[in-house]
Amino acid sequence: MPRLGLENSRLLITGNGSYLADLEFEGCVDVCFVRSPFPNAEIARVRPPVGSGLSGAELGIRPLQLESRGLVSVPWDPIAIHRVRYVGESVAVVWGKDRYEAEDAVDATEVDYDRLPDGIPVHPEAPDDVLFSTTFDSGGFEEASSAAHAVIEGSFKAARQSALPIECRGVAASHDSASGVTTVWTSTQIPHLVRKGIALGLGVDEDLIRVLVPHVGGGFGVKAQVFAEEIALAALTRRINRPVRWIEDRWENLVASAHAHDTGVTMRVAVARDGTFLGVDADVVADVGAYSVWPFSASLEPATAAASLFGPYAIRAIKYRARGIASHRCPVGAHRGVGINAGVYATERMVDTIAHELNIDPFDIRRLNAIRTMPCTTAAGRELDSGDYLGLLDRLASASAYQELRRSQRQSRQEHRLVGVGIGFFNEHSGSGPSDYRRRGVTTISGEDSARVVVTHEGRLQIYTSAAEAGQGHAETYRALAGRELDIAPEMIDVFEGDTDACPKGTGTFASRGGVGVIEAVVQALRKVAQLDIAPGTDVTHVHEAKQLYPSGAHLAVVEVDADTFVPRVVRYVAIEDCGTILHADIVDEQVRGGIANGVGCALLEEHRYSAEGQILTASLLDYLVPLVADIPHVELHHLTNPSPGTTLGSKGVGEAGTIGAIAAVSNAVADAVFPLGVRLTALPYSPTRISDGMPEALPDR
Amino acid sequence: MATWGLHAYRARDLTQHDWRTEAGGTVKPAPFEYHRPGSLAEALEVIGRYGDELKPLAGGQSLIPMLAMRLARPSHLMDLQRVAELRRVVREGNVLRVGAMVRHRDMERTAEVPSVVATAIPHIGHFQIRNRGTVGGSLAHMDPAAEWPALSLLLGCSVVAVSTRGSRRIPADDFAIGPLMTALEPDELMTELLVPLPEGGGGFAEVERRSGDFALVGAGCQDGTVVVFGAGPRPQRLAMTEQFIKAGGAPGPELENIAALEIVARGDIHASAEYRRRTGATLVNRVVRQSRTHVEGT
Amino acid sequence: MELTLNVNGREWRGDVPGRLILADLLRDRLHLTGTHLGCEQGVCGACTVLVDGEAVRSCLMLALQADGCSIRTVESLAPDGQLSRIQAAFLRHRALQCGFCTPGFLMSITELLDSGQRYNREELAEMLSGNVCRCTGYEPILDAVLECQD
Repeated sequence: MPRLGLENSRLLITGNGSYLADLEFEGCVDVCFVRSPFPNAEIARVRPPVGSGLSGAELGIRPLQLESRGLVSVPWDPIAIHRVRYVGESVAVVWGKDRYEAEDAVDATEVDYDRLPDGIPVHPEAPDDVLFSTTFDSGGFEEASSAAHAVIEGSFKAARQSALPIECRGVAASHDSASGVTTVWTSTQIPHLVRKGIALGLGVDEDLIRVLVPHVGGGFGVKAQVFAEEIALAALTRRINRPVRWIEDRWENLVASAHAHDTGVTMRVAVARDGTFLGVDADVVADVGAYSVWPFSASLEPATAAASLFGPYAIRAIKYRARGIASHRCPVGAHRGVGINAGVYATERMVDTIAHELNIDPFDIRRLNAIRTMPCTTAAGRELDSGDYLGLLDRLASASAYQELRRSQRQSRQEHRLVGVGIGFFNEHSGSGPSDYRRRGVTTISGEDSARVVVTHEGRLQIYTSAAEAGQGHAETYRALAGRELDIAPEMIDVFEGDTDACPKGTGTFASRGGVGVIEAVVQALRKVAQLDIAPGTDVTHVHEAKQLYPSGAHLAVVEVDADTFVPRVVRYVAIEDCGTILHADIVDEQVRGGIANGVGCALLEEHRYSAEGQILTASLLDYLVPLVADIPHVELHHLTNPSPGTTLGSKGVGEAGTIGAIAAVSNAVADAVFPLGVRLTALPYSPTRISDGMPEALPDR
Repeated sequence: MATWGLHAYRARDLTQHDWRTEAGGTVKPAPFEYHRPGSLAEALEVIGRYGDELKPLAGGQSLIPMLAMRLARPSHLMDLQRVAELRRVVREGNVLRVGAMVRHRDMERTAEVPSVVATAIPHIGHFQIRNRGTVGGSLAHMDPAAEWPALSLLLGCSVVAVSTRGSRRIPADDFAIGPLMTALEPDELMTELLVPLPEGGGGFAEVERRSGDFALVGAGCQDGTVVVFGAGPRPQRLAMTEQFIKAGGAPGPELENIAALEIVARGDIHASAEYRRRTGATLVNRVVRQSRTHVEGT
Repeated sequence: MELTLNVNGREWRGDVPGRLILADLLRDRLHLTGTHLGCEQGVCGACTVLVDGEAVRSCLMLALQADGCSIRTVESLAPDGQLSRIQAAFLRHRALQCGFCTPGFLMSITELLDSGQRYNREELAEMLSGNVCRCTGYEPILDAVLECQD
């Protein structure tokens, strides 16, 4: 369903959307994957039912491999052939005339595993299990720490989490033997990268693969990876010469799509007596799971987390080491904010820890250390484009009536109520482009974004982009933009995304790039069309090579923890956002609110757990807990709009800011609420049992 | 919260089977033969014929997910919806006879239910679950964190179990054996829950992480009986705490300490055993206080 | 086994296997794909439909359990292309983004609105906690329902 017409939301509200599972194909079979129940075993024998199943070896997919700086390159068989490395990894593909019969074929498949002992490397290529490693040193930390009033240490852990769109993933594929073209429908955020991954796995030219994206029921990052099932279904339809489809179930989604975060940050921060941050030394360790996700690799989480440390603060000396460690768990990929979530969370918890140690108000210490000049290049080498960080904080203080909040908190504490106030102050990188990926040594992701604008002979405007809509409201944004640029009525504009044949090549939808490179490509193409007087037959494509930008924000949460049950509840939420120029006010607001809800979940509820034997314990939505209506507060949302010089219109992207700010603000608020009990929270999520179990043996009198 | 799907998952976890290596990747039931008897006599005949190859289907809010995940693979499934005898709620003197197929929703709208039951029912899943889930299904499923097993222990209820061999009454304490385990024989069908109507008011409370979730731990108090649920493998009566109250003990730190000592608790991914013991004791204190307020109020 | 039910005002009769789940009957045989499957674990609420006027999870029900029942799905809400009040309110309040959870929310809300009972914001949050949305942060959904209670 690559066309996003004006009536799109009307289609969705009446139940007439076309999500992957709604597509019908003549003669299609339903596919299931036979998945490993063991975290670490050699595959001795796979026997799927004859005529309705194929083992990984029989499917004949080429192993994929990633190369980039700091990465240990290990081969990945999308369907395992020799060894399984996590519970849920596929070893065979089976099919039936419907899903019921396909599951019967799973039942009928015999697989013999030889379990492997603990202690052997996950991959022989990485004997120490380190799949990715990098270091950075601006110089000057040792001098800073020897001159410091104190060097304060802290260690904080972001939980293993799932992006959890309500629509699971799904893939359908069909092969046309006459043209040799395989068409793959998939619920993805990155159609062109999926095409590339499938072509590599099949060993065919990219031109022989067409990827189409139907309505997507949410992505939030997890649909920005190339997955085994996409390659396997393309291989299968070519093999059995009939349409095939696979609808991911929730168990598979929780166990075997991609997880996120699972990053620990240990820091030493040199501080002056007045609270000035002098230098940071950090060690970032991410459990990246069993394989490098494709195409982002095992560097995604640790590198992003490390780069985000102390982002909005003026620090002269910073050094860090970041590593991605392989484990017998689901591979770790993207999730709204990726490693920025862990980096900002650890930073903001650390800042509160320092404030407590030095007896300085958490707001004051942030204001003291915030970057004051823009643009600037930080000690960590980030080229910040624009922003007004003091303005963010001051607006936060006035909008929340911060001093009054602290007064009423003191009053609550006298009444033995556990009320806490937390701030999440951050910047984040968005819209990474070709130069950013080359600088990181990543070669698989080209990084450009593109748009094609056509004026039809009927005078309609067609906009094609390299992005892929998953609920963000791309078409509405482009229509508003085209209306402003060309004075064309919305009903005269058609938007097309998610078709690798019709749409220009580009990187897809992640890292808030819709508001950076994609929108820039659309603007430039529209302006070329304007120069050509919107003449019928005009056909213009613009490819934009973005450079990453830095949206920023300051959030504040007030949390009350029940003094009997320790259940935390967010009772007030104030967010100040600066995503540069606002392109579409409603859409910006809903991205921020949705992101905040996600962040509240990450801070309070969401966590994947594994048993000591490597079995996942959170394979259902009763065990992996996402926020429900009553868990989300009303959000008081305010904006600063300092335009970015990096885009023509000054926008910077806004898809992830809400999540990043909320994890930090809410976790700080919970920690603040239970501080009087002697509880020191470090590991997300901040659940009732973590609070209760963190209480010192001798309970304070209450 | 009680009778929904994945309690099955959790209950098996509590029995510490390594079930997870069996589960996963299926969402559609394995084939079975479907039976839909039109009367109790017919139902008893069918269950008598197939015994443990058969599963009775009530509202299905717990059983259907187990079927879908193929954790339950009965050869025969007996849908009880046409057995009208199981849908009645009748008051006989001081006993409420609740048919096994009576839904939580129906109980929510029944005036005679004891106040602790009325307080507890909104905690059973969400309203969509209460629209289908039944009292009998919840009891037969026997999730340790479910409300109905706890309420039946608290109120001194009995389960009426019937087979072609005859009928018997099983006191709640004997009915609950452990997670997913009841005293029902393979050829027996639960037909009714006999609920003695208490004199005074009671107290009921539970902790959920989110609205409608499992109780991390819950507690009830009625006429000197004290029950904790969701903490251990089955709902538990707190004998020492009851004695303390009987001897004139009042709510307070001492009562809380006694309760904490005797609560049998296990830890899982949602809460540690220590959390369940500590918070369970706090809830016991709260529900004892609630029940006294009711008594003093009448 | 023979099954007869009424779906969105039309009678449907057919032979179905015992194990067929109601949601699959609606989606695959009746082609009413507005009823979405988000978890098939009875938790997310995306598959919510009305059975004899009551909101239920269609993933937690065998098709045969609906024998003789009247079913309403999201497709029944705007039969002549005229959006229902709650659908219009959803659009106005921007209460959907990806739209996948929306049909389930609409059907749960339909039972609440049809009951005639009025709920305040807090009560509504409780009543709607059986439906999960990952896009909106829920606030516009509550706003839309509150408006329709007026």
